[in-house]
Amino acid sequence: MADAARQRAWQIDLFRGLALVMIFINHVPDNPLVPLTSANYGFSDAAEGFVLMAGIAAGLVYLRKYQQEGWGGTLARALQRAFELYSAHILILLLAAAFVAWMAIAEGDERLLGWIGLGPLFADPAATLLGIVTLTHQPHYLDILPLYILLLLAVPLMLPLAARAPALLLALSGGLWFIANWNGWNAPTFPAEGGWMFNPLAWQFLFAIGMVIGARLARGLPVVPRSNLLFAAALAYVAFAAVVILGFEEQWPTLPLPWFLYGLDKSFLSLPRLLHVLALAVVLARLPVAQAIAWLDRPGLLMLLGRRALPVFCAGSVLAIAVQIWRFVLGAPWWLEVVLVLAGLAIQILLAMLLDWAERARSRTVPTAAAPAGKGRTP
Amino acid sequence: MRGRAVLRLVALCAVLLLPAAPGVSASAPACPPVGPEAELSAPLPRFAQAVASGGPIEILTVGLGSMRAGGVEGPFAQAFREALARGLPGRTINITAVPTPGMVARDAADRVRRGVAEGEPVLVIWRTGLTDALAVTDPTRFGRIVQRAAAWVSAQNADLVLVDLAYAGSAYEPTYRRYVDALAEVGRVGEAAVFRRYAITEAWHRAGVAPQPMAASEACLAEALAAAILRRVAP
Repeated sequence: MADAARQRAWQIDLFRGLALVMIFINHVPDNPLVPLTSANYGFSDAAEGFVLMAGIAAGLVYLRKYQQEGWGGTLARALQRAFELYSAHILILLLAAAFVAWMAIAEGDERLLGWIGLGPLFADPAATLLGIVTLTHQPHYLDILPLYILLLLAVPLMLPLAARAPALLLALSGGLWFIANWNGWNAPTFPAEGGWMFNPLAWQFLFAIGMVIGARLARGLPVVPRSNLLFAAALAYVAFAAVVILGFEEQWPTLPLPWFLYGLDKSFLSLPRLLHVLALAVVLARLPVAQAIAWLDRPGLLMLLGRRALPVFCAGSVLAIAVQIWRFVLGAPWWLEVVLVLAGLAIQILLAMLLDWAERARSRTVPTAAAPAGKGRTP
Repeated sequence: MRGRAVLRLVALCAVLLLPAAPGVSASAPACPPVGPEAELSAPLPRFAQAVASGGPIEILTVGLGSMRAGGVEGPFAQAFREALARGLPGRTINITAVPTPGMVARDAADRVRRGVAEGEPVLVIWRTGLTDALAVTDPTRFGRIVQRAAAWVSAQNADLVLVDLAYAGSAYEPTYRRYVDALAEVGRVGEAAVFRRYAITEAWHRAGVAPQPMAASEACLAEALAAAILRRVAP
């Protein structure tokens, strides 16, 4: 990895950790900490940031793998990682369903089974189990890992282009995003009709952009042109989005254009959301925001969370559902909501610390398997 | 105490197992009667005009479940479509179903807007409230989000029917009721009609006639909704 990439890697971990914290807070809707998250001040939210950084991390990690071990090695690693994610997804879905079932039984309220869209699992388990293992039934809040699994499977296809012909990759990927939006194409769901919450045909574009950025970082190449005009445009767009979201949502216009070009649609990553996350990235890359956050977070908790993104995300998914349910059952006042959310974050930090400690212990036990700095980072 | 918990567990398991029969008809042969609470809270002028014009009728349903025959959330959506077709024989009724599984109103409102902008329906039926109640979102904010979406739908020349959540007689009814009240307030403002599913199921529950299993109850509610809509266009 080039020096520039090494210098930037900590920023990716930091922002990924920040995105994980925001995703967790947003998964407990309307709790008193929600105003601290980016979703309230723009068209995009932490999910876009997470996928963009996942693409950057994939570019950084897999390009090295590609250069060292060739396409076969990259394919093997991507398949292995996708299977890990698949296993994690099935596990957290099962845990969430069991927790919801327990609460429904304990409280004698059948409506609780409908939590986060789990209802079909209990109403029609035979069909829904098929949907779960084929990733075509995705309860709400547990719908980003299926996207990530497909994106990882696409890495071996995208990577040669990201390395050698990034413009072609962006053109093909952007073309697919446009065609999917234009035609309303989405991956199917089963047994219920509909499409994926995170339409892979649309969201792959953001991941591909991230991969191109990661591949450039890995080779020490500049990513964002140092153009004052671009920076000013990005800043203006971020400010415009904040104004719209804060006060004028009800006046959203209808224009003689396809909705995805001017409307908000998270599933299809409509243009305003896509532009917003990219504008935010330009602004964050130009301003010393990462340094400021790192200064505030002197213990390095965000970077710790970012390095352990998958287990932290999985734990956070289940904990967010648990916090939601406890908040409902306890009729929690605002201060208890804050306590529950902070306790959930504390558990995730402890988990990340434990994983770091376990890795260090393994390294000491088997010196030949000692991990290089940053080994914990995974795409 | 433990005995009651076991009984509750057995009863809930029975409820969970019963509706699993695939291919069950969406129609509800023996629905309990409904009272005045089954009337819509406002007229549907655009829908009535579309029916009077004799042309195809475009309807958008959001959060109502799948339209696929035998679909897991089908009882409501299927029974609604069948009842509407029976009430308007020979008419072309195109129903576009937009699922919102587990989505709070804030996210579902984007689906409503996109569905209306692309499909240009004359009637939008949006079932909402349960997810927000379970997630304990701010009821005032919930009402404001729905109100904004209702005003927007109205500006697009479509009628909106809001379907609130179901009653189950649990200890948490005061929580659920806050969201029912928020939707009723949107109806009072006048840019949406409210179908008071909560009031209907509460009346059934209190009279001891609530259909079991839940799938049957949903089919009965869907028929009541279709009937309420059709009464609004009857000459």
